[in-house]
Amino acid sequence: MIKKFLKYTLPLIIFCLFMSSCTKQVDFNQANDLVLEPIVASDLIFFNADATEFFVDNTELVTVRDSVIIDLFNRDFFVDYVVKAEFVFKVINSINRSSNVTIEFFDINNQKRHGFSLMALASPNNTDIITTHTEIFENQALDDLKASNKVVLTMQVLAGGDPLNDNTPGRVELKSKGLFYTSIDVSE
Amino acid sequence: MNKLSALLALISCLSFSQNKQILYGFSDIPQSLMLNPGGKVKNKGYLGFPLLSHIHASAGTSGTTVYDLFADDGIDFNVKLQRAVNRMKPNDFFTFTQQLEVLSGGFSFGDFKRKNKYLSFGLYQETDFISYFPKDIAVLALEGNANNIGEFFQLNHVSLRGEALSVFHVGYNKKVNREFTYGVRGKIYSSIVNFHSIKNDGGFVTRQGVNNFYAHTFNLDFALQTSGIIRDEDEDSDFSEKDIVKRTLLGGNLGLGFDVGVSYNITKQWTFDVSLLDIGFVRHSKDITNYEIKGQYVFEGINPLFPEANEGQTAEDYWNEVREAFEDLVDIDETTTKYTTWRPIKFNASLNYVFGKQKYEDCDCTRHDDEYMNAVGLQLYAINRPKRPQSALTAYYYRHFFKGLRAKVTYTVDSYSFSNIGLGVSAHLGSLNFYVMADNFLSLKNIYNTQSASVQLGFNYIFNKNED
Repeated sequence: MIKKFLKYTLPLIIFCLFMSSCTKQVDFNQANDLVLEPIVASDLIFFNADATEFFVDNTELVTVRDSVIIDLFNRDFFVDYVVKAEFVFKVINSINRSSNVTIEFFDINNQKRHGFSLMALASPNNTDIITTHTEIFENQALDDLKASNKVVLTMQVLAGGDPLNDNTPGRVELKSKGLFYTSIDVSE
Repeated sequence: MNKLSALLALISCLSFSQNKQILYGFSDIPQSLMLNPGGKVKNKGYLGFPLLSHIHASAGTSGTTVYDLFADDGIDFNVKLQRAVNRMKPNDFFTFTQQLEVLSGGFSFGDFKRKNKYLSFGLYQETDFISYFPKDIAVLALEGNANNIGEFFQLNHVSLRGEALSVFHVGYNKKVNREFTYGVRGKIYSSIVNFHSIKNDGGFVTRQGVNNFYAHTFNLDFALQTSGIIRDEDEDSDFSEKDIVKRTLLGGNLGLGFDVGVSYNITKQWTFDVSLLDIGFVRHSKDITNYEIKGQYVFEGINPLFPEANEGQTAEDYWNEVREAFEDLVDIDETTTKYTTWRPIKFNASLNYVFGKQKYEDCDCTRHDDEYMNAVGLQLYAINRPKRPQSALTAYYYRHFFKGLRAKVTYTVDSYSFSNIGLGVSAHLGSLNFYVMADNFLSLKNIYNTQSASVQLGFNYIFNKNED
């Protein structure tokens, strides 16, 4: 019986030992270092208006303003993971009037937290004049953005140049996008 | 934190295949009948030791290995992950399979002189999981869309299927004549847990826009079907281990299936055999939760000052419209619709040549019992998987040592590697049988760097035909 054991079972045991023998150094705790850093690009606001749209009820519409409650920047995901934001604005103007576009951010108590503006230059011969502006949100500005839930967009058509009426040529177009740099530490 | 590393470890290391190339055709082991019900039977009967007669686990990854990701080499984990994601293709997959025989046995019957019929039966439990690598989702999570403008992130990269079930089976094997043996095995499946998400479509793309910088196009068609999964919100339900036992014992979602197989002796030394396993389905009608996301939406931003859609619409209205559209888009529909899943069908075939009869020690003549001592052969294996079948080709050498020790060495080429060497031994001590087999020996220098591995072992009590 012992002989049989040695003959048959021992090779099996050696076989099993061989099976479980070799590994090289691995460290599964490295998974804790995992940080996802996707950069998310998203459209923000836009508009596209002919010069004639600024002539309402036989008067020049000098100021156009609207506000939007956007409960995006104060959402948990945004607050926790966005480490930097970049807003890029582009105005294309072919109206012979310069205008000023202002964007303001308000918090839940209607306190203004951040604002900036860009100037669209007049286009005397109605060719497209492009103005761009990049607003970077870091540190305090980023905190202000994360506290905001309302965005107010104001467009003011400035004096000088052609009068605005049903026959004014040209149009004004605004495009904007946001780049959101995130850092998601999965182990937290 | 620990959960995450456990999950990563599980995904990357416990991915196994179902191929049992070493056991296939190893007719000294009664469990080889599970791979071909029409295989050769070498015993009068057997009983498997309950819970110990067949233990099988295998895992495989066609892409990255555990070592690629977790080697303690000082390289930043995120760099290694990024590399692995870049290297892997959406058709790369992780698999895991486990089987445990709870009960098994068999006996021959028929005429007193030539008992050429054999009945085998038992109950085993099986877990099977496959997930393809959701490459586009991984790239989106790692990089975001900002540097991937124009890149279409496909949702059909998400393709996975998993189930745990128990199988009651009875097999019939008949040796018709010297040349021909056939067999069938009927199966009743009792599904414990099932989930699958294999018909996803659509995706997400950010392109250069017309009205704004970009146009974000969402076209989502995603469905996940599950049965037997108890969700967190059902915590107060009285689900317990008892229910698992109940589901194992035909109390789960039931299904039917069968295996068929034949063996044919072309000459005394050449044999050919073929089998089809798990041609069957499971009907899921209990404890079902299905999830579906379906929707299309193109987002170009918010137009606050001059919305075109509607005169007099304020920016507020516009934003609300956008928000509702988004909520509709990602709204998860939950249903309890019954569904049917097909079991992954497996195909096996082999061509074998036996040679070298044992000689008497004291004379030059061969023994006249017709046991050949060696066999070589080629085996083909294929399994039906969600995206396309996986197959493997094996060459083997089988040797009969002494009275009670048989061994088989295999070399397998498959989706995982071209260098899979396997070894199995079956020891027969009187009526006791113990077998153990494992593959991918070349990778055992560093088990973490292996792309697949499988282990099978078991104990049986065999009633031998020729008591020795």
